[in-house]
Amino acid sequence: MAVNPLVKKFMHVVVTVPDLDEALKFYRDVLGFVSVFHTRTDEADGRLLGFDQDEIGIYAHHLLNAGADGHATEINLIEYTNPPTMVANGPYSQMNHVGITRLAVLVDSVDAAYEEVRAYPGVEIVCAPKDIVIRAPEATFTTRWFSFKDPWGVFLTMTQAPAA
Amino acid sequence: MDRYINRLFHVCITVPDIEEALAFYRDVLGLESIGSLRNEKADGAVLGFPGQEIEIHADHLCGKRKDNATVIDLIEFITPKTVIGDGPYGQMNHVGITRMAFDVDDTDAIHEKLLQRGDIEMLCEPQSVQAPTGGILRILTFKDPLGIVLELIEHRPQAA
Repeated sequence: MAVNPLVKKFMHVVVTVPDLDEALKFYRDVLGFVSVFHTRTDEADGRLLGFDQDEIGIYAHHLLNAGADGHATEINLIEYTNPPTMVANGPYSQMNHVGITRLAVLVDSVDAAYEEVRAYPGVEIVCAPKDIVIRAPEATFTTRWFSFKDPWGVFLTMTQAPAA
Repeated sequence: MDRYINRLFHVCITVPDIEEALAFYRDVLGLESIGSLRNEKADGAVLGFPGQEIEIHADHLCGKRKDNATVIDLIEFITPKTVIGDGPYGQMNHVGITRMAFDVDDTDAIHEKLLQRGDIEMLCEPQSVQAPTGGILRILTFKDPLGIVLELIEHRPQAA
């Protein structure tokens, strides 16, 4: 560990989407994240995000899980409006592609969440719920997981607390 | 409405070489590894490799504030190997998981440290913007040695 840690906290992770209102129907209304901040502007700083123009247009919602305290990491959903979100070939399709590939979320019941998520139009189930044995150095334990791609192709895994 | 999500559990970054990634994420940014797996073999189905056994190296990283913040899961794929392809998303308006932001104490000090390395591409110089909650945010964006866009955010409660 570095002598003087630079990073206090992992603050947010950004998911870029083509249509934020559509994305909210899934992330907020189905998964149950709560929007804690939103902004719609034509004057966001373009240089900061690597664009060749001073001002860019974005529409964004910051999401937290319900009941989260102030130190939880947010998911920022962003729809770019100028320049618009580019869909190109979509998100990384393979999990061994270099980059930020996946979000994992903790739920109370994997099986209940699976039934809800699989029913949502456009969701692609990658793997139905199954028990995975994790062999960590300290202990071996079993956790239940399933994985899917959201309607825009972003890969998510859901898990619940390990069985005792 | 049911609230299914307890929390964002981890965010996965796929890298070609775990030790090189640790040299940056742990030794430069100062994230702490709270768990390490080497040559871990697993059923590949959950990660989209049905019927295959996969093998990975992984480290779970967190910042100084461990209460409730999401863990970063660095993963090097061994079988099948990490694919570089076109590299991480080059533009932030590409659909997908494009960027991560860290809360820091001193954006400018880290900026100096990153410049000294010589291999870090800055997207722009540190900027000061009004914080929605008052005070200012001192923000820097850059690409890590693999090309992943990261953002540092320092909150200064009173404008200097």
